[in-house]
Amino acid sequence: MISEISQIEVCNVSFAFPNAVGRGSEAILRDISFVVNRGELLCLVGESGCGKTTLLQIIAGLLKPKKGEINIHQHASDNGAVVPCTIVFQDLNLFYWQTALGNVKVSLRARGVPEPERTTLGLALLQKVNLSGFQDYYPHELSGGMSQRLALARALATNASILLLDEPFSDLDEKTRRALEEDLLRLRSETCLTVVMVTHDLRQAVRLGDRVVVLAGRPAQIQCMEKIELLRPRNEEEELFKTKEKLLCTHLTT
Amino acid sequence: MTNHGYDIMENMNWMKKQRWLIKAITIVLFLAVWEGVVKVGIVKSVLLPAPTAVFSALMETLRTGVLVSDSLASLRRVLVGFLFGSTLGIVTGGLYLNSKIRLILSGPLELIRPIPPLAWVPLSLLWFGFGDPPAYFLVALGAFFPALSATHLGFSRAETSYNRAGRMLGLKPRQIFTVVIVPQALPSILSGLHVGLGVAWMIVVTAELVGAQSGLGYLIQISRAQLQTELVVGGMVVIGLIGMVLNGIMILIERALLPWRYRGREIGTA
Repeated sequence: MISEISQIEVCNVSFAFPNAVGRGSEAILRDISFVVNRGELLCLVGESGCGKTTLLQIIAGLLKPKKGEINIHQHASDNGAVVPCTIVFQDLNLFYWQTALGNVKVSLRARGVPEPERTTLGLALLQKVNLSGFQDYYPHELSGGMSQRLALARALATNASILLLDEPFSDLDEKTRRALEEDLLRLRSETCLTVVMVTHDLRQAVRLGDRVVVLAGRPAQIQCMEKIELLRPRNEEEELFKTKEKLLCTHLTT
Repeated sequence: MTNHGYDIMENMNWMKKQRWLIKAITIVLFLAVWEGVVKVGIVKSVLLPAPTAVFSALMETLRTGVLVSDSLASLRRVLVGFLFGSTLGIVTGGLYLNSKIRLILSGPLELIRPIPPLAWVPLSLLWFGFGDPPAYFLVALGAFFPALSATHLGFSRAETSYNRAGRMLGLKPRQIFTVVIVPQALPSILSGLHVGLGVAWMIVVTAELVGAQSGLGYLIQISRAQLQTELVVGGMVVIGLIGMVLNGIMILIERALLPWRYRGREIGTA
């Protein structure tokens, strides 16, 4: 299923924030290198505050690395996308002054989709994330799970081939989270998305990822990179699942 | 004691339900007492005419067309001055986004701001003569500062996290301004216009007391000179009513432009 064509190359990336005290800077990431293939779902795992969100924002182009570079390869099939990659932030940042449909239409507008199609396409996208009938709701009228779905629809509307997710579904109850994870996997296979996902939840990473990258240390470095070749749907009770989780866990704490 | 508290709660509930009825009764009572006080002769009708006398005087001016033409004259002054002043205020507030422009403009403007617009009346008469122009100027001045402050506040409260989100959805900088920043500033801007319109209405009536040959302010002033007190009070009533209508129109505009603010919270299921 996964074609071995690299889409994102993270090359020797280091990053530092200016120190709070004033002088100098605090190293956050050191010499991070990995490749994400087209259509792959890669999970970046690390403890809270280890710098994985920073890394995701560097990939998104929101932060400049201190050293190293990010190469993103566009493909001919990225039709009409104005951004190669898009991101769903941890706090979603849904536009509270727009309805659900209005939020999705912002991305379509950015792509230059003209008005009558904008509405039809927007409604189709809402249906794709199971939000049909909620197009006129404002974000504050939606539940946590529905807000996540809307953020996903809005990101998909950009037609970007790379989707970055920062701690997705982390504030949701177990049942809703599972439902959204299923939806994410379905959407990914439908649209051939490349997904990079940041999470502190190792089990979620093993459940979803084609590959898991473990970040730890200060500054953070890659501790291990593991292919998860378990068949989907994955069963957490299975021995192989548990072995993978344990293996990754040892790297997480070093 | 607990029983007593319960009674109060019941009472409050009852009062909520009967709000309109209570308001109507108290207004009627107020008018009745007023009428009685004048009719009995406690107050001379030349100092305070009875409500019925005020009403019939108003009907008379309505018939001759004086009331309508004076109201329109005041409204025209308010609308022209308000549109001019608040547009300038919003544009200046937008320019304040640039910190250099803000640094240059804010000093002189802060110097002018505390001067009440009515203190400009003598100067505006010198500059613009009589009639509409000085009123336009004074109203514009009164509407300018609320619009400026509210626009500046609205823009400075816009959160940059939404700009990042807009950028990641592919919006260009110009689109981020119109699609992401302006809607966040809009509630504040509209409340500035709301305040400005109220100020504008107060100013126009007061300005007409001194420098005009028409308008509701002129009407009550000239009626006083002719000792037609019922028309003085009648003019005041109309001034109040038009002010209420202007306020109501602003509320309707806010409701139309800020729909997300007027929607209840209905949590759906995931």
